[in-house]
Amino acid sequence: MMVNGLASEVCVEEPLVVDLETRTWLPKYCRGDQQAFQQLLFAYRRPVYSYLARCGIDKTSRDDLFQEIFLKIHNAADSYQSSKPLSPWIFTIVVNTVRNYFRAERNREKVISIQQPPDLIDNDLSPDIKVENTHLIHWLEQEIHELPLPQREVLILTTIKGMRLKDVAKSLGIPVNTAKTCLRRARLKLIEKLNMHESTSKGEENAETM
Amino acid sequence: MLKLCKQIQQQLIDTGISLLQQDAKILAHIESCEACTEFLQSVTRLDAELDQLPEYNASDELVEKTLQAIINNKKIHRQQKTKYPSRIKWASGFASVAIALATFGLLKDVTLFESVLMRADEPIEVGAYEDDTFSFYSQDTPNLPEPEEERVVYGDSTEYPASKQEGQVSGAISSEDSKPLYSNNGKSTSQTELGNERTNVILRPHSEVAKSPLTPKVMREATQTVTPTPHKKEIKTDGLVLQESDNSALVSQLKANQARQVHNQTKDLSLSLYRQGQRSGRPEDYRKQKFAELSDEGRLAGEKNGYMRDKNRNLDALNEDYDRQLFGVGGAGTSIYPGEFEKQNRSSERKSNSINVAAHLSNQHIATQFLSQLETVEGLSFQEASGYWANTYIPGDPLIRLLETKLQNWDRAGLQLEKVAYQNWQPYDAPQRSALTAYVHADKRSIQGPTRMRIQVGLKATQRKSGQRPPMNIGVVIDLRDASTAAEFSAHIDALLQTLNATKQSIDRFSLIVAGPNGGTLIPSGQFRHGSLKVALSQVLDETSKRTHVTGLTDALNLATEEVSKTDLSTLSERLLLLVTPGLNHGEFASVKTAAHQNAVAGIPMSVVGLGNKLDLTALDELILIAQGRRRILTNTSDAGRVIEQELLAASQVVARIVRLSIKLAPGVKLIDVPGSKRLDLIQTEQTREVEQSTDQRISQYLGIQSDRGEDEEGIQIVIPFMESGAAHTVLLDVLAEKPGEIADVRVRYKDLISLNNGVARAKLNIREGNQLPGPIQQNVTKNLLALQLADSIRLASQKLAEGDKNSARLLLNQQRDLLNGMRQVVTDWQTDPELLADENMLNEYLAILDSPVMDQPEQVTNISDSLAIGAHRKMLLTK
Repeated sequence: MMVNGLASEVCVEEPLVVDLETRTWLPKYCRGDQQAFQQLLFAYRRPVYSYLARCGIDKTSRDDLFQEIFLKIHNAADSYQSSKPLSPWIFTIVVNTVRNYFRAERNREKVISIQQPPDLIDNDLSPDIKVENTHLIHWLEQEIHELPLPQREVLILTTIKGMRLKDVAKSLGIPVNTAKTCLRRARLKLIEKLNMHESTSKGEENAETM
Repeated sequence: MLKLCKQIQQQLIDTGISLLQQDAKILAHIESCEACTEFLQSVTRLDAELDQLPEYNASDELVEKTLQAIINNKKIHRQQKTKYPSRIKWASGFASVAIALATFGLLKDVTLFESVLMRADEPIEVGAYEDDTFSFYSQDTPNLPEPEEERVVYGDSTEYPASKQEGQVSGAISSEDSKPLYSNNGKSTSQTELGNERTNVILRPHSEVAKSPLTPKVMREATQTVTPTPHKKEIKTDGLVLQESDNSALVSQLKANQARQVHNQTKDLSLSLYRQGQRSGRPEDYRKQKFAELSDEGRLAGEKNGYMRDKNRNLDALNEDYDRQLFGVGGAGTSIYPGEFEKQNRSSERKSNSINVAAHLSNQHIATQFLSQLETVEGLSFQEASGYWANTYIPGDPLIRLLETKLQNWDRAGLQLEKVAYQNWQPYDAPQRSALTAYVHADKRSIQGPTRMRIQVGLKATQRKSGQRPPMNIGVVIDLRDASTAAEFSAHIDALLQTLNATKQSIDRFSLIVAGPNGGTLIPSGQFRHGSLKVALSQVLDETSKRTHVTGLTDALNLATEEVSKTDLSTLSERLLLLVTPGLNHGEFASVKTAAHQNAVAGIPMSVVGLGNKLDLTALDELILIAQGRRRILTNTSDAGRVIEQELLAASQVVARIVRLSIKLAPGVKLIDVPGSKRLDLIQTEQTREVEQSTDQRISQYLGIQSDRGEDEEGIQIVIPFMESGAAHTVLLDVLAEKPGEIADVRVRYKDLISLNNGVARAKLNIREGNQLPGPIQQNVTKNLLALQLADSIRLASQKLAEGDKNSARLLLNQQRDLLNGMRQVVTDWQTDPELLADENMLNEYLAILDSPVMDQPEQVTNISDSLAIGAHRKMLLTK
């Protein structure tokens, strides 16, 4: 999982072979290859669903939006230009769908609690650390959700799928510098809150030991 | 907080800890600053936590539902999108407005019109054409009641109301026929079966379909599965509806008719596929386009009736049907490979016509497959577009000369076989002012997005002769076994050796070996000078000197081979043995021939200079045929200069030395392969470098061309030792280009033996964005690829034949013949192409001879194998 979009932008200049392959999916689908769309769907089911979840959309609406997004992708497949990377194109649809959802339903305020994150993959950790990590991640999910939407969007897109900041900016329809600023602010806020959270936890622990 | 701290923290938050690796000063500051250290720890911790964030995943059920919804939506979408061209929709729109205005003008009741429009509590209905019917859909759909409407199912076409369908299909369809196969509360599911294809269809009322904004609710409903109730199965084709249980024979006949129709359409499609595909740039696009045309014209079976309405599935069905018919799932062409058709042809006259037609079509299919394989981007593996690759320009291969000599007296029974194999004409103009020029082309004129293509790098040498011969490494063997003739021809030998010494250049390496009394290596390589020659000759020609030992001619030849093989120029200079003999009637002839043959195979030919005019020319000819050399006669001493000049300048056709070809692919262009070549390993690469540098320095010494080698260049590198005048050489690359723009940059550095300087030729390849048609140049690239494949197949067939595997050889040649035949059929410009025709005829001759009784004779099998090997060599290198 790539955290820092800037770092990846520096490192990855040429498109990867995998990236080139993904670009053939939609043109192939347009030519009648049903498998190509399935490949796309299976490749993007996690990133898209994770994005929806981290945007704070409840389970039922999330499923609906998930279907709607892929139907939009299906309907707009003809307009995809394979000379450009696929991820920004898909996430443009995802972002716009989510924005429309928030706008139409006016339920940005009706924040639905984020579902309990799934179990961590690392099974070698001791139960105490596992519990602590799960708690911390749950806390972090909530903090991310409390970020302003523009900051949240940039942070999630750079966090999920390891998208480059340039591509994130393209998906969100904002200048790269704006995206960079949003990401910086989001990270600064999270660092501040993380520090506060840790100091609070330590204070509680001290109180318990006393 | 210091300003510096703020800047560093900002950079840290942007760049992460990789910043520390980039700037040592920042690292030093952080180590000394407590605030920055704490901040760094916080950034690291946040990154670690973000890294651990788990991903949410959509359930499998949701994914399946989504896929199902897309499949359903696809039918709707395609119907809506492709039924009428935009101009018809515009026309219908204008017509609607005109009718509405006329109506209101007649009624003169605008208030009514306004009242209709202003009824806010009702959804506004907008007229739109859906196929042949004028239907209504609502912009405000969610709360509308779903009208119950009778649905009709034709194949997988589901969204037509009965009334509309009746109007659309022929009058043979009765209303009774137009019943749903399965129904359930207005939503119907059909399951139709035709041939091997089974299709599940979910039916919904027309209004719902037509309205269908893609809301989740609609999608959920669309994906609801309905349990079908059994119903009498109906098959509908060509305007007829049949109940399968009633008349299964007729149904079968209808199926057969339909399959035949589909097959005929496919045949037409394939015939013009590549031709038209070139125009549109992509065969697949053309296939779709052509299919759409056929569908619009109602030419495809059942299309007009809504049968097999899904274009893509229809295409797949076409392909499957075509494959089935041609390649063996029943039907006339039941064999796996077209070669089998010929067997059947012999055994059954009755079947011959259909089989030939099938073979004819299968060739097109093979060609179409070949072309589609060239386009495929699936499952490719890429290589690093750098390093040294093997040179494929090897003219004058001594082994081939040996084989050619062997076949000189072969009775071919009027067949041409390998003699018609020539390199394709290449579209390269020979340079006038330099020795070499470079060209680079691709088999695509323009591209859109990631595209696989072949790049062709062409080298063309000037037609002029340089007069500069390559370095010579000659082992001179003098046959002095007969003392009497030695005395007789001492003057001739002396004149010959002195002339040789006079024409020797600093880069040459000569050695002198004598067969006879006191023989052996008299002058080793590198010490061939006037003084040494005089001393050596005086020793061997002095009859009074005491005989210490006698060296046989075979031993002398072996010593000479050792001498020419031990210098560092052995790989790039012309190695040659020069046997000077008064006659070969002194025994050892058999062993001499064996030694000469072994040397020829090792790339060291042997020329023979006969002394006097009483020679047995038959023996000399026999020897030079084996030794791959030339025969010269020296009758008097004054002829020595002519003989040596002819021998040494025979190689003066070389116009460029140590040609270094560098092909740099642009960013985003991935190398798949260099067909016909292979990547050199580390040892081979090092050897190539050493030879190149050594030759560079020697050329600098003897021709004064500045030494400029020693450093590797970027990209794919191929070092070609030399190029002869008029030669054309092509290097093909298989690449995947990500986008239009710059594709490759070719740089050729060489030692120009015409103008005696360092020559450089450059060429760049840029591909524009678009869908332009391939022209003759682009076709030439594909043709060169075919030629390379042909040469490889012939070479492999030769090997198989030599191993006694006649069937594999036949199969290889058959495949290649069919491919060439198919390519001529599918590419319009190649239908009468003389080069492809010649190749095809050559393969036909080989196939005919492989099936003839002469194959029972082992020597004929060897001859055919040799002939194939020569053919492969000629196809790649021999210009007309």
